[in-house]
Amino acid sequence: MKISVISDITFEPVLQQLRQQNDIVVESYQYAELIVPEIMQAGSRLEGVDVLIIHVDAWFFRYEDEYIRSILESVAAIAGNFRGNILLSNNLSNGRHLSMLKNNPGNGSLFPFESDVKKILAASNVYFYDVNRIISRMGFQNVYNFNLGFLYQMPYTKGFISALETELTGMIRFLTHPEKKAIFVDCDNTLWKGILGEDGLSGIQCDKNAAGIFFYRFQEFLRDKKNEGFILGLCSKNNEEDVKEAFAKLNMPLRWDDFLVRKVNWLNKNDNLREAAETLNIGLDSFIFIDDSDFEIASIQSLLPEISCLKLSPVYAEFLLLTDNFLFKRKRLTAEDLGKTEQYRAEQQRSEAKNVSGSFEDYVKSLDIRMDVTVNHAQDLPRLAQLTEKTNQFNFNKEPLSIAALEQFMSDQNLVYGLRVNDKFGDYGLVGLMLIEVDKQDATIRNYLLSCRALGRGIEDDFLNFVTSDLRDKGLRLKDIIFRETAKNAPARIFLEKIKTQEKPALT
Amino acid sequence: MDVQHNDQQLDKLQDIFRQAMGDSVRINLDTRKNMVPEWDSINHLNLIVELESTYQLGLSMEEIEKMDSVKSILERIRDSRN
Repeated sequence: MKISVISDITFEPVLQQLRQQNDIVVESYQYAELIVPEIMQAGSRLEGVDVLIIHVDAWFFRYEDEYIRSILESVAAIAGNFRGNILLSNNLSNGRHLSMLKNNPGNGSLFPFESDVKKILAASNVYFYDVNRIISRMGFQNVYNFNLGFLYQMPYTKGFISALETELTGMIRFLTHPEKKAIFVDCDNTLWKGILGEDGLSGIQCDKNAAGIFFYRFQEFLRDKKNEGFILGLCSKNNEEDVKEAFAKLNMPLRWDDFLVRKVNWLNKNDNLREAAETLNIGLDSFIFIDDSDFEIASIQSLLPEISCLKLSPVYAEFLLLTDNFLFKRKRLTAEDLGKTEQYRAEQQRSEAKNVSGSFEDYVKSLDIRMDVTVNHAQDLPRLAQLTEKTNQFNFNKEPLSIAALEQFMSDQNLVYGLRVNDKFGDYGLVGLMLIEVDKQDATIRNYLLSCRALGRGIEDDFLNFVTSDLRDKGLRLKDIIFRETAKNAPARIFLEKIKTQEKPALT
Repeated sequence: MDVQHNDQQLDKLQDIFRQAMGDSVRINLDTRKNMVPEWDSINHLNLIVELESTYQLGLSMEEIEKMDSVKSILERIRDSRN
C-alpha cells in the first residue's frame, strides 16, 4: 500500500509507526504555509497512491479564511483525477472563530467552513478527519507545543502525536479495507449488568439508573448501527428461553427480533460464529465480536483471527472510545444499507420456502423474481460505486470505482447497466452492475458483478442475456469479457466457464 | 554515589536516544550533536518530544537549541529536579 502525505507541519514524527509496517510505503512532503500549490502539483504525481493524506493545521498557522477556502477548493480540484482516497486531516477551526467576543462569521456555526467542506465531500473519494475529535478528548493544553512549532513547524506534544498516529492508522485501514457487516455481542455484562443465569431476571439491569445506564447506552448504540445497515447477532452462553424472556419483559432499547442470528446456547463461541457466517453467507472478516470476557475474546482471536474482537469494559470513557472505532463507520450510507436487516430476513424466508418446495427450479419459479435494468442512470451511481467496492464473490474484475470514475466512464460513450431485483418476499435493491466499454461497433464487458444475495437463482444468466440482446439492438458486437481471478471470486469464474461451454455462447 | 546516579541517568538517556533516532545510536557523556550522524534536525525534534514527555519538561526555544550535547541535556534534566 502506498501512502502519500502533504502537510504544512513537519509530519515525520506522526509517521514513525506507519513506516514500520512493512506493507506500507510512505512518502511525505512538508510545505510550511504553502500548501495550496503543492496540492495542485500533487495531482500529477499520484499514480499508484492508495491514500493521500493532506494535513492542515489552520489553528497553528492562523490562516486567513480565504486561504482555507482555497485549500478546500484545491482538494476538490484534484479529487476527480485520483483513483485512491484523499483524507483531509485538519484543524480548520481557526482559533479566531472560536472567540465568543467576535461577531461569528459562520452564521452561528462554530465551524465556518461547513458548506465548503460539504462541497468537497461530494467527491466520493474524499474523506474529512477533524482533529478536534482528539483535541476535545485530550484538551487543548495537552495538544500544542508552541516552541517546537515555532522552531520546527511541528507544534504537537508527544501525547497528541501518538493519538493522531493511532487515529490515522485506523482511518487508513478503514479506507483500504472492506467495511464490517455484522456485530455479534455477548449478553451478560455486555447487553445488561449481571448474569442472567445466576442473578435471575430481577437481578440484571439495563435502564437509565446509574447501574444500568452504561448498558442502556450500549444497546442504543447497537440499535443505531442496525439502522445503518449492520446485522446484529447474539452469541451468548445462556438458556435461549431465559434470554428471550429478558428481552420480552425488560424494557430495553433492543428487542429479541432485532438480532437476525441468535446463537444462545452452551456451545463454543467460535463454532457458533463460524455457523453464523455460513447462515448469513458473509465472510468472518466482516464480523465484529464484542464481549466483556477476556477468555472469550482471546479464544476467538486465536481460533478465528479474521474476526475483529472488541472488549467491552464498563468504564464510560473507554466505551465512548470503543463506539468511536472506525470498525463501526460506514464510508457512505445508501438506501440499501438502511433496509439491510429486512433484506436478510426476506432471505431467511426464501430459505424456508426452499426447504418445503420440491425441485430447485420450482422454488426459483415460486419466488416470482422481477428484474429492472437501468442504463447510464446517474442516480444509481453512489450504490453502484459501493457495489464495485463491496462485492467479492461474483465479481469478474474486482476494481473499486468511485462515483467520479463511473461518471467519467459513462461520459466516454460507454454503458453502465444497473440491475434491481425483487421477488414476492421483498426487495433486493440495486444488486447488479455491468460495465460495457464501447469502441465503435465493439463492446467489451469490462466488469460484471452481482451482490451475493442475488446469486444462485438464475439472475446471473438472465441479466447477461438481457444485456447482450440490448447490445445487439444497439448494433454492437460483444467482443470480449474481462475476467481477473482473485482469492474470492470463484463463483464468477465457475459461471464464466459454464457460459463458455454452452451451446449458444454469449461470446462470439 | 554521584557517579552511579550519573550512570543510571545515562542509561535512561540512551534509551530515549534509541527511541528518537533508531536502535543503532550509541551515546556517552562526551557525545555532541555533530558527532552523531543520526542526530539531524528531525531527530533532534523527536528527541525533544521524548525528553519533554519523559521528564515533564517545558523547554524554551533557547533551551531546545542549546541542548546539543549529552552533557547539556543531563544538566537541564538535573536543573529541573532542583
